Amino acid sequence: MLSRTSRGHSALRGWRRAVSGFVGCCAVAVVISACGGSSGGSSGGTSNSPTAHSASSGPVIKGTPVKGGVASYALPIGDDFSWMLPLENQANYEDYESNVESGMWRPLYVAGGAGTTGINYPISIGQKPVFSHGNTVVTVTLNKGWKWSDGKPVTSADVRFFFELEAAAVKAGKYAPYVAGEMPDDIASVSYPNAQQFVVHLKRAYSPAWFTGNQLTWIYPLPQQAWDKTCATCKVGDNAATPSGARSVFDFLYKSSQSLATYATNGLWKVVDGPWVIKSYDPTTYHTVLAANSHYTGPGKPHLAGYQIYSFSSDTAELDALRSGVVDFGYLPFSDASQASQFRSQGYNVEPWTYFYNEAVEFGYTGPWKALVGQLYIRQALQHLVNQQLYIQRTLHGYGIPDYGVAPDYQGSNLVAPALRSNPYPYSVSAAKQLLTAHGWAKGSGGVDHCVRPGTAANECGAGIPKGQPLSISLMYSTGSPSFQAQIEAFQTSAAQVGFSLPLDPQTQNTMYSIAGVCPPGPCKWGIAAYNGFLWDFGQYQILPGGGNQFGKGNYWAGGYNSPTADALIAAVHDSSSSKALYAAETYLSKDVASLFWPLPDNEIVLAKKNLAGWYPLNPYANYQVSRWYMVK
Amino acid sequence: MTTQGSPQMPTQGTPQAPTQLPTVVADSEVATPTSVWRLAMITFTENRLALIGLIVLVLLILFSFVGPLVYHTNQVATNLINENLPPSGSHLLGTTPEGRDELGRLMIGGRSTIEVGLGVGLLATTFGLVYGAIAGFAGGIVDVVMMRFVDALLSIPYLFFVVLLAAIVQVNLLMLILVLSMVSWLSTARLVRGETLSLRTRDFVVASQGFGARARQVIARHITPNLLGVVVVNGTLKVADAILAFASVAYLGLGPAPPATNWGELISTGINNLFDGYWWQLWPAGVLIVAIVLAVNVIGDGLSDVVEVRLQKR
Repeated sequence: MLSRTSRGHSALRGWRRAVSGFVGCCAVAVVISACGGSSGGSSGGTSNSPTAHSASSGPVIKGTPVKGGVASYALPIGDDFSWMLPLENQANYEDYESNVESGMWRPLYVAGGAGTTGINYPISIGQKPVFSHGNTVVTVTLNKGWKWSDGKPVTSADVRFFFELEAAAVKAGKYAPYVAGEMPDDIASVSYPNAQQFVVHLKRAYSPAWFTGNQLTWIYPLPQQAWDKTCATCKVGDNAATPSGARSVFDFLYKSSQSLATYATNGLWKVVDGPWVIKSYDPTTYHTVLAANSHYTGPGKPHLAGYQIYSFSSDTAELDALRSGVVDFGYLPFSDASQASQFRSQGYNVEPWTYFYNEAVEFGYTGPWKALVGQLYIRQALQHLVNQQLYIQRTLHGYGIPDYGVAPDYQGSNLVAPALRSNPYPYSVSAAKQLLTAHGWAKGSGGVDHCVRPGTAANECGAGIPKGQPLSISLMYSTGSPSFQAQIEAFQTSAAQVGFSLPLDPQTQNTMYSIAGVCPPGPCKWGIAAYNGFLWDFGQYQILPGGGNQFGKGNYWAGGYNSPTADALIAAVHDSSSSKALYAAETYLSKDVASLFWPLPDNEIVLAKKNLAGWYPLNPYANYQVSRWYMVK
Repeated sequence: MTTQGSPQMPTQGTPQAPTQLPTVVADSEVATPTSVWRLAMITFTENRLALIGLIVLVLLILFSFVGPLVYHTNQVATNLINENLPPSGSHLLGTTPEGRDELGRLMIGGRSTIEVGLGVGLLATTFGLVYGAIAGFAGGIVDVVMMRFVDALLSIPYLFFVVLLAAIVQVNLLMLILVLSMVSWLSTARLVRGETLSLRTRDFVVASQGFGARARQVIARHITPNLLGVVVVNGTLKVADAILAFASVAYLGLGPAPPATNWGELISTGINNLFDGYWWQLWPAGVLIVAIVLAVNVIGDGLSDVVEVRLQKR
């Protein structure tokens, strides 16, 4: 099940998936351009964001590219690499984990590129899938030339091995991407006609775009010839061919992945098909060193000899490491955004890292305020009171992009419905006031509106709202970020202007995880729940932002939002091969204000040393794409 | 010095009632009769630091409660256009990240800070005094049970209470006072119980019991008054501790919801913006907290002098 996510700088993060991007051809192009004195990218990414800081020009990097060298990056505070097996359990369903995993084991289809959303076919193992028989049969051909580091070719047997392990992991309840009804439930059978091809027979017809972007992207070919065993000293065989055997193999691999102390020495993890291989690992500090895989046969060979990953417990420690030269690629905390120019003058490149996630403030459709939040006009009025541009400019200092729906206003992406490129409910106190007045609300005592026309007619308050009910909803929000607090208070102030009372309930992000969602269970004391940062991320496990997992039937992270129309439109995203279906679902959820859509802060403000190149444009799924990096002198 | 007048049994520690004391005779001259309060005042004012502390406390109370009547600002609505403005003629101490006037914010923040400090100090001290006195005087199994309960509560961090309650109900000032009092009375109770154990074996207590005084009378008339010195000093420390604890809770964002504020929360915001050069969001709140905690502490020292017999002039 996909989970709620928190911002990159908090201790808890939900699933943030991105891919290992290597972008071979692009990297070569960047290297060539760097020879000319600059490597500033200009395509996609953050460049067209109306408020993003200097993203349009990109970093200026001068010097001659050099082969080799070891670079390093700092993970956001509280994050660490601590899971090896590319079949992630719920506790390790994090994008910063899969970034590293997918650098060692290349997914069948890589999500995202340099500033681009969608599938990155040039660097993927699989060719574009072919759908036939009314979109019930999918044929995937593997690109030739991919080899494991032990010299064996990557074949369809490795895909079969993945399917076998995935089924075992699902049965064991240890496979986080699994959603009931989705892979492997939607697959009737898989056949393997030859070493380069496999054929998926679906239980019904699915949209090729959805099935490719949100199902086939889960597949990682895994080294059957090295991993198909049940203990370290056991022989490799076809152990996973049966369900019980697959469970034993999975348990063995799972246990091996739990053994952090053996990461650098376990032979299992040395058999890779990606450009990187683990070199050393410290289970105490999570300091991870990866070396370039000298046997890598895929596109986009790494320029660096290796890279290191550092984890930090505080922003101060991270900045100190960056200043002292330990870290080449770190970040400037948002609260210190005004120091950007200072760092520029000290020889760093500073760039906002905009990503393709969404920030949605939940309505409690099943809680005590359900009668109020269940009214579309009330949700519309609230959406009119969110001043996205002001929040971005003043509280985020420009480090964010507008978000008017399931997909954010990420420039250059064809996954965003045209309707989501502009605000369907622009900031307008008068429009909000007009909506409330037209539905039977009038100012009462204490400046708070009260329902004066109860009933279900078009000009009445709506079902479940008695006469005299005050227009007041408890707004729970996560503490710890002054910029987010300023946004919440500004929103409260705007609401107060139209007689809408929003008593604030500050909570730690961790507490909110245990309270918000669908109510009951849990203390049902919130009507609106606002998490700092992003709420939902897209990437390796979900490329199409149709809203199914977030807003579909039985959802948890949209507060129990329930709309037959939305369900039908979401189902159409799964079924229709047209992008119109995706756009229709996105547009409807936005216009229905399924959640309160809120500005999306950038992933981070990147601080990179001047002699580090190739990292720009940044990946929209928060992947570092180290294979594109190189040093200049 | 010698005393004249009725042969009153000497008490240890604090005088018992605000009645006139015996006439003081010094160097064979008859002195003016001095009330207990006057004597206390004289002793207190002789401690210059305590006097300064009292003046500071009064000024801070005036700043927090009278200030907003003089210096009008809107502390409810935000104005992001005015965020983080430096001090100027229109905003004497600049503005907050929400665009509110910082000086006005300090004033209303002071209200809740002082209210929590005094509220917790009073509640915790009163309850701890009664609880400790009962346990100490009763002794035996009652003492054991009561004090083990205290030990058990002492092992629970107060932040746990606050986080738990914040998750269940809406946190407000009264609730915070109650929660902080719930964890603050424990050390007072232990202190009082120890003193009581010592006092109950004293001759005047034994004599009182010998004359047939009931336990309640002994506690009320002999034990409690003699504990006053310890309790008053401890009480002032509780006020200071409560202010700091409130600041910690608020720093974690668990204080009363905005637009309410307090100095701890203002410090939290200030620290977040420290490297942006918004000094006005940190230092004034920090100085005010240090000032009030120091003031309360030195007042406690002064009160200690007042209730300490050896320092009193008779």
